[in-house]
Amino acid sequence: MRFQLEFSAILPKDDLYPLSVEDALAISEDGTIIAISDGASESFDSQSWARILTDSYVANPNVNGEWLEKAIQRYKELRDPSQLSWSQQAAYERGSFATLLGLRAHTDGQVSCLSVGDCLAIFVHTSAHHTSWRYSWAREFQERPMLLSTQAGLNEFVCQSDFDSRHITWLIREPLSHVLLMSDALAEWCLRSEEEGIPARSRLSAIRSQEELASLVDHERARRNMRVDDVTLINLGVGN
Amino acid sequence: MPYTAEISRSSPTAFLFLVDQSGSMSDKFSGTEKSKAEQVSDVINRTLMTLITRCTKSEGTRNYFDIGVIGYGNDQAMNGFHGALSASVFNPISEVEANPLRVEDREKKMDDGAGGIITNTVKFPVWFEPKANGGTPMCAALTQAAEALVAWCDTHPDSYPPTIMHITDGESTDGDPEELANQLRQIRTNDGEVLLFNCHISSLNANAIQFPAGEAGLPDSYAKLLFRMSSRLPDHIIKYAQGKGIAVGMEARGFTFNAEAVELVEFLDIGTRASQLR
Repeated sequence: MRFQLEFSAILPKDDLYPLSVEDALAISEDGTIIAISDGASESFDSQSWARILTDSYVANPNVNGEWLEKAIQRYKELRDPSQLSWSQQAAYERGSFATLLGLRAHTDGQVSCLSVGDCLAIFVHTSAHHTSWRYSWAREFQERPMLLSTQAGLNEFVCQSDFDSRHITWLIREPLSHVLLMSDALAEWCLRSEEEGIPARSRLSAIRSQEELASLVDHERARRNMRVDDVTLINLGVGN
Repeated sequence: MPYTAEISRSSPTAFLFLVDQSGSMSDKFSGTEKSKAEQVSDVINRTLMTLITRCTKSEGTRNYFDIGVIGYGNDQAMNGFHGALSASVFNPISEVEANPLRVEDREKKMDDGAGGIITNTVKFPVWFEPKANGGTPMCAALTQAAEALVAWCDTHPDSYPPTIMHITDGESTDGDPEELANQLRQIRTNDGEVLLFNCHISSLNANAIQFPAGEAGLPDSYAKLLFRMSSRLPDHIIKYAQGKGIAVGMEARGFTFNAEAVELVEFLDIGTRASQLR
């Protein structure tokens, strides 16, 4: 099984600062591994950290303590903290934080999905049946999400024995029509709309251009119906 | 819904610190060797540093907040900032970052990760100096704050409203501040009224009371007055305080009585937790 990229885009939270986007996405060349990450606003350099996490996942999707150590090392190689101002040093020591959502098609036809934090995967099995990971309800977005940090001491949960069972779901022999991956503001809007009987998921599934996505996001933000944050959406078809 | 505006560089919020610098602030701060004035200025400098750290990214400090400090004592209220920051009450946080009076090296004890304690030197910027002199012109300070806040809200109509953190140990010597505080809390943006938090560092030998919901348990009329002057806490601040393990009810107000050093830090941390930055 492999995924076919039908659409992907990242929109900035603030059009005045398009280079400040702190979401990242990465897709392996063979289309079997895809990752998105949402960098936290209150972070020293969550833009770089989100990119390192997605690139690292696509290079090696087996996330564990050692994997994270290597990612942190790559982050540390970006700069020499002794060259930073006092405020940058303080912010650097506080760390950078980001979510990670990784999707992987295995050679035996199974699909696994890792989620740390509040990015969302929606698996459309049939026209009448879909599931999502790791949240199912809009209210779950009100909880403080778990984040991967550049401060190793804050990542102990990754080394715990229940990490895989808490953060990875498997789709085994289930039909799969397509997959949506999205960051939290869009995901919260999507689940809330569905709960209110509005077919948001099918609307997102149909998006094929950045303009369509931007139009939807602008409209919902203007109605204060969607939190203002970076927005990432990936639409994936499923093939063999 | 009030207090939900997202805070961004295009739509910042403001924090204004009102600090009692009257003569009684030279008394010892409970549980420390420092005077109240020294302890309060340390905590304010540390809070400013924390706010700056929250706004600082690899490319620099983003202007999510405007910051002001008004000190009052010796029969006048005055800008608590000096030098380049003293021209106006509010300054963008990047300007505050760029203009400390000095940056001190201070020792900090830290866990060495192997069961021991090591001492590291950390940078401690100072913007606000301790002072303790004369009477307590609280009404003058509230009036000066109101003037600055009206102007700020006029130019930021859709922003998360400003938060005032007021720290005092004594009774106003230039009139009854309650009505002025009521008027101050009516200044607003489209996202809600100005939030007024009061911290009473009393000299009474009494237990600290954090974020009470009523004045019945407060020990004296002055604590009760400051309680009435304080805003009700918005939901997200209640949630944040509860997340820190503090028992805060839905009717709680932004008031702390007889805070010790740790509680004073906590009070300023909770009070400056405006909604999400973006």
